[in-house]
Parts: sequence; C-alpha cells; structure tokens
Amino acid sequence: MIEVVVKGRGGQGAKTAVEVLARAANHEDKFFLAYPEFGPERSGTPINAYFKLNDTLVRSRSPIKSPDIILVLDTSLDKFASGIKKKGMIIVNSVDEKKYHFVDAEKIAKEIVGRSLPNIIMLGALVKITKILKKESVEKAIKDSFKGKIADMNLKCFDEGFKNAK
Amino acid sequence: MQNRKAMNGMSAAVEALRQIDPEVIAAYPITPATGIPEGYSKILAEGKVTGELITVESEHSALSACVGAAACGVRTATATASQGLAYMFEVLGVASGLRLPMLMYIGNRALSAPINIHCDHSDSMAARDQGWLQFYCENAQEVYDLSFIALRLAEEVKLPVMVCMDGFITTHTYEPVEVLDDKKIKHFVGSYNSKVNLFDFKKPITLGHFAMPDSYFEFKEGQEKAMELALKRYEVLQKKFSKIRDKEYPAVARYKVSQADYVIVTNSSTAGLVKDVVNKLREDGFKVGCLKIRMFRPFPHKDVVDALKNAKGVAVLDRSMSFGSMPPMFSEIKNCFFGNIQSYVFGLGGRDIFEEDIKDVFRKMEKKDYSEKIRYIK
Repeated sequence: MIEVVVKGRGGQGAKTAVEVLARAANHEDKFFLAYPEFGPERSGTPINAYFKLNDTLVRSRSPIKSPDIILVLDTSLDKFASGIKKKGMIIVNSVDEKKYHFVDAEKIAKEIVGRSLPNIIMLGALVKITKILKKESVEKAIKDSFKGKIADMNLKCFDEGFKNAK
Repeated sequence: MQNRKAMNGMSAAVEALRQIDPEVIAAYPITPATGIPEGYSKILAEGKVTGELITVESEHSALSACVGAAACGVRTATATASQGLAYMFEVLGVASGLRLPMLMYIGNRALSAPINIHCDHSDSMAARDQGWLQFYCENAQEVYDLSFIALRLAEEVKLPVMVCMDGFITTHTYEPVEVLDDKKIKHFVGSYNSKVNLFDFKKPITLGHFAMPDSYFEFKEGQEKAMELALKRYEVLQKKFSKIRDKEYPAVARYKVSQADYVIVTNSSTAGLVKDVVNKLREDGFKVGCLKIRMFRPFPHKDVVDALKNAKGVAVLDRSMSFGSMPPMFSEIKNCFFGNIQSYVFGLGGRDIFEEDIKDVFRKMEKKDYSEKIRYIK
C-alpha cells in the first residue's frame, strides 16, 4: 500500500487534489481511499488530505501517521516532514530546495491561474517523481473533475508541474 | 470490473436513488448528509429521475412529507443526520406505527451539546427503539448495495428503514464503487404495489386513527411481528441480491471468527480497521476475528450466539453511549454471549481510532484483562 498525505492550507485545493487522485486510481482499476481531515473549514488554516493506494481493498480509514509520500503545498506549515517513512519522498512547493524534491508551483499557478492554487501543479510533480499513477490516468481524472476552461487550465497546470518538477 | 466509479458514500446513495427513482423525496440538508438531497436535486434537474423533490423548512416536515407520500402508496426516501434525526423523532414512530415503508439515509453524526459535526452513532442509536429497520454500512459499496435490499425489505414487511453510514468517514471518502446495470436493479426492486393508498377514492381507508386501550396494544404487537418477519425475509432478499452482485451481505458478517479465540464486535467503517488488524495478528499466529453487526434492527441474536459460540473472549466496540447503562451494541451482545466480555466506547464526536488501539483491545483479552465497567478508547 502507498500512503500519501497532502499538506496545505484551506483554499489551496488539498481536498480536490486527493479526489483527482482517487478518480485516476479508479481509471487504473486500483483500490483506494481519498479523504481530507474535516474541521471547521477556513481559508488559510492547515489541512491534511489523505490518499491510500493499493492493489487490494483498502479497509482502514484512520488518518495516515507515517506516509510514504508527503506533498507540501505550503512550506510555511509547521513540521511538514514529520512522520515520513525512512524511504519516503517529500515534494514541496518551492523555488529551490536541497533536501526534497520540488517544483515552483507558486510561480506556475500565478502564470496560469492568476492566483496561488498549487494543488494540480503539485500532482504533476507527484506523478513525475513517484510514478504511483500514470500521467494519462490523472489527465483523464482532471477531465472528469472539471469542465470546459477550468479543465483546460488544470491540464496545463498538471503538465507544467510534471515538466518542472525536480 | 463491471462499472466501477470513484464515489463517496453520499454519491453512492444518490446513484442508488437514481436507479430506484422513488416518486417522492423530501429532505432538509444537514452536514454530513447534505450531499444526498443536493446530489438528487442535480440529477432531477438533469432529467435523470422522474420523482418529486419536496424541499421543506425542517426535518420534522421532511419526514412528515415522506409519511404523507407513503400513505398515498408511493416509494419515498429522505436523508438526514444528528440534530436532523433528533428533530424527526416525533414522526419516526408515526412512520413505523402506520407501517409505512420508506428509505432514510443517515450520515451518522454526534448529537449536541456540545455541537459537533463529526461521526458517532448517538443519533441513530437514540432512535433504535422507534420501530425502524436499521443497517450500518462499512463503506460506500455497502451503502449502494444495501439501499436496494433494505428498500425491498421495508416494502415486504411494511416498516421504514434507516441505512446508516459514518459521517465524513464514509459520507465524504472517495472509494471504488461497482455500480450495477440499471436493468438489473429495476428488476430487483420491481415496482411498488402498496395496499395503502389514501388517494384511491374508490377504496377509502382510514390511517392514523385514534386507538383506545382495547386496540393500541395489538398495533405494537403487529410491529414486533413485522420485525421478526424482517429477520427471515432479509436473509432471502440478500441471497437473491447476491445473484446479481456475486457477494453476500449477511445480517452479521463473520471475519475469521470461526477459529478465533478472541473476537471484536463492532459495526460500520471501524470494522474495516479491525479486519486489517485481524489479518496482521493472524500472521503472527494470534487467533482473532471480527464480527460486524450489519443489521441492528431487528437484532440477529441467533446469528450472534452462533458466531460467538467458540470464543474465549469478546470485546464490543460501541460508537455511542446509553448514559446510565451499558452502550447499545454491548447490551445486545451481552444477551448473546455469557463468557468474558468487555465493553469499549470509542470515536465519540469523530475521535480517530488507530491500529494500535485495536491491537491493545486484543492484547487485553489475551491477558484475561476484563472489567465490568466501560473502557474508553481515547
């Protein structure tokens, strides 16, 4: 089983990101669970969203304590690397980073969306670096999740995230 | 794979409602069940269903409207949670007392006070003696599949039914759901031929009349007889459904119980976690199992007695309380098992539960560590 935690702030699309991953996993006939931690939702407050991917039925709905992968939408979050498994991978939204994989999602989002919306860009980086799902499955899932111009914009975001991830 | 979709518990319920296509849906939105009336109104606007959606000003009115619709002989459904169910309370007994079948989804959520939107079972457990059939679903697939079995059962025994799923944990989690072909579902649920129809003016009937001490008693006896019948008919219907699903949904689901020394009894989504732990402990040679109570009303006592007959120890994990007494599910299991048994309460107001908590429950049974008091997993 692969356990992914998306760490972000309310409004950055962490919940939407794991829903897209769920649809992508479904296109590959894999088993999965995708859910955020629900609280009193407010913009700007820390939020974790979880994604569990497996070849057989995923049963446990507990929050993920030690993830294989952490996707960090905002590096100002406190102790974002905590709990990561020994051979785990961390991908951050950052201009430059020595310890972790990174992509400058902030810059790409401002160019494409016009505001800070790093979620789908970070999924591009996730797919490129971890290869847990196929690029085509996520693209299909983006088309399932959004319509018209919003879908096109998100496909562009995903592609840029994929290309620029390091 | 047939037709597999990424859905959450609420969208699985909406998909079931699309296929059932009840004549009347009346609902008032409340977290975490809002996605059901919301999703239904969307498919109604898209012309995918033909029913009438009655948007009301309260849950009391929502259930009253369902009672009215069912009294006119049509299929009807609603969805609610927590305070919404509490607000329906007066009408719950009216629906069951008038012997009107209807389908109600519950997104299980804690009751106030203090106010909390997260999962526990205090809402539907508080309504367990109101004459409704009750099912507790582990995941969205069960929500979808049980919708059809529960509806048919309700119509056969003329009682209303609650299909409960864990608030957020199941209502809002995306997971794979295998959707059956519309034709197969239409064939399974058939058309509803009610004997009660207040709109049939050629055959006028009285419904909800005053009952004196000389007759009220018999009405209640009748409800209990219907519950007894429901136990038998459920088994028949779930077997019939298994022909289109290739999977059985017994009233009590046994997971590695037959050879187990120690068994955890629980319901809803937590059964998934317990099964995971059972598999891990089995790898280490521990004889443990999980018994999931899928049908809580009527309560399948005989099945539970049979399932637990070889157990050396039993722990019951309740997600609600019965203040001043033992928790609801524990009290039922205690009637079925006379050996070492321990009551646990967990997850109140959405408190998370982890693998370690479950392992600890099994460890305590192995050490013969039992108490007469409730233990809390916090």
